[in-house]
Amino acid sequence: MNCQDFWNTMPELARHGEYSGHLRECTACAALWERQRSLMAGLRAVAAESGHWQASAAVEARLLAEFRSHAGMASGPRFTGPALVWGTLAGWAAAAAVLIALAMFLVSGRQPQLARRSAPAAAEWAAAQTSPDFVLTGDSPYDDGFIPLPNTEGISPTEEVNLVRVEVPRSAMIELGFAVSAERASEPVEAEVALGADGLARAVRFLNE
Amino acid sequence: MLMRTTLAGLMLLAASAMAQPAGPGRGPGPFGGARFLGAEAGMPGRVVKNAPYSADVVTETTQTLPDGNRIHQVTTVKMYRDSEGRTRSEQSLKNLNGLAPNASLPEVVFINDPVAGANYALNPSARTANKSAWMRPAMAMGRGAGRGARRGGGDNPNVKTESLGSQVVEGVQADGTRTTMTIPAGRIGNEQPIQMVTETWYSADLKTVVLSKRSDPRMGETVTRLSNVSRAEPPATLFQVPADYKVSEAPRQGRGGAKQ
Repeated sequence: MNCQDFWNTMPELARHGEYSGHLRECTACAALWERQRSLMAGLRAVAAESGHWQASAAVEARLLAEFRSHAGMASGPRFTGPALVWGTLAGWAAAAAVLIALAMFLVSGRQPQLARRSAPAAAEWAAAQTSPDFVLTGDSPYDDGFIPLPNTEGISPTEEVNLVRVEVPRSAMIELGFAVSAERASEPVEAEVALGADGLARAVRFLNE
Repeated sequence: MLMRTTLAGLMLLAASAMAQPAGPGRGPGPFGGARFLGAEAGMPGRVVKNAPYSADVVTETTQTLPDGNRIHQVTTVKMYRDSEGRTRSEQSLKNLNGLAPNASLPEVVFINDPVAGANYALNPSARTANKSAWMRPAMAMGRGAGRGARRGGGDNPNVKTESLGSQVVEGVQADGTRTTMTIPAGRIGNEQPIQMVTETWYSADLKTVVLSKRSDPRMGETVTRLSNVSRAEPPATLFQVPADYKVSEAPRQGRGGAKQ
């Protein structure tokens, strides 16, 4: 069995251990399979946490009727004609509303997290590359996770500073001393860049690690 | 039970959507490039009144590598200041000092209005403005009067300041100062002393530095000069957000402290 055969057979639906032979032979599929299992486990955990959520009785009744009509199960009152159409629309509208509300709730809770330098020497390296009069501390608002860019002049305490938010390849973090794996080098990462009065980029901080 | 299954399915779908990267215009973008997400007018500079001008602020950086290779970059910012101390700067972001190579970043405009207590970052291509209200803390004002003022030698034996006299620079009278900072041998692991020389020419009429040259063997040379200097009062409309711009509020407001 090759990799394509393996994935074409929808292994996630197979019994445990049925495809372990291919996974033992192919490290790429094994890694991907493990990642998929982790993802599914996480999704199931999210679903389990929301198991207590209930739709209204009317919506549930309409959804049940619609599912039963498609499955050929004849039980309970059945909607026909316009009632069936409206019942279907109402059911799907309710499901869509739940989905949108849930997505907005989850998205609104996501705040960018400052990247943490995984290399302990990153700060020292950046400091060594920078002018000793670089000012990003004290009363400056730019002391919160900003690190000076290499080969740039410092920011004066009275200097105008503006911010630009960009999405850059994660490989841009390497130059500043962050540890980035080769596999993730091309992934995007959000960054805030502090510009000096001369328009030059002086410092940066990475947000969504 | 069926309803629960449906809701669980919706949850799975939502959770899958959450696994996607955040940010507007999702997608990987060109490899090695960058994408502009927004701008915010940050902490304004020292408020200078009664010295209006407009000029191009041209900054050239030159770095010579050990193998003889050279990196030369030029950045130009169009700067305006009115008699009330409002400032406007227009600039192309280019590649953000190499942080965003191969990027096609837009031009941005920053307006700082100390009279109204508001700052704006404009995106002319999108016709949008981001309003913020950063204010410079009063304590910061006494620490220096300009880019060159912070390098006064004081009692530090490793900092030497000397006057270069007065001369006309870029069409305006300016006073020159040279400051030499020395990092003694061994301070940062250096075998020999490292000298950084900064030369600034300050115009008392414009109340700003019209020319500065900075030389640092670790970083190369940086020259910033004002060109096309005009001392006429800039039009008031330059410091206002055009009426057809969509204005949004920046999430961070006024962290810098009290208004001057």
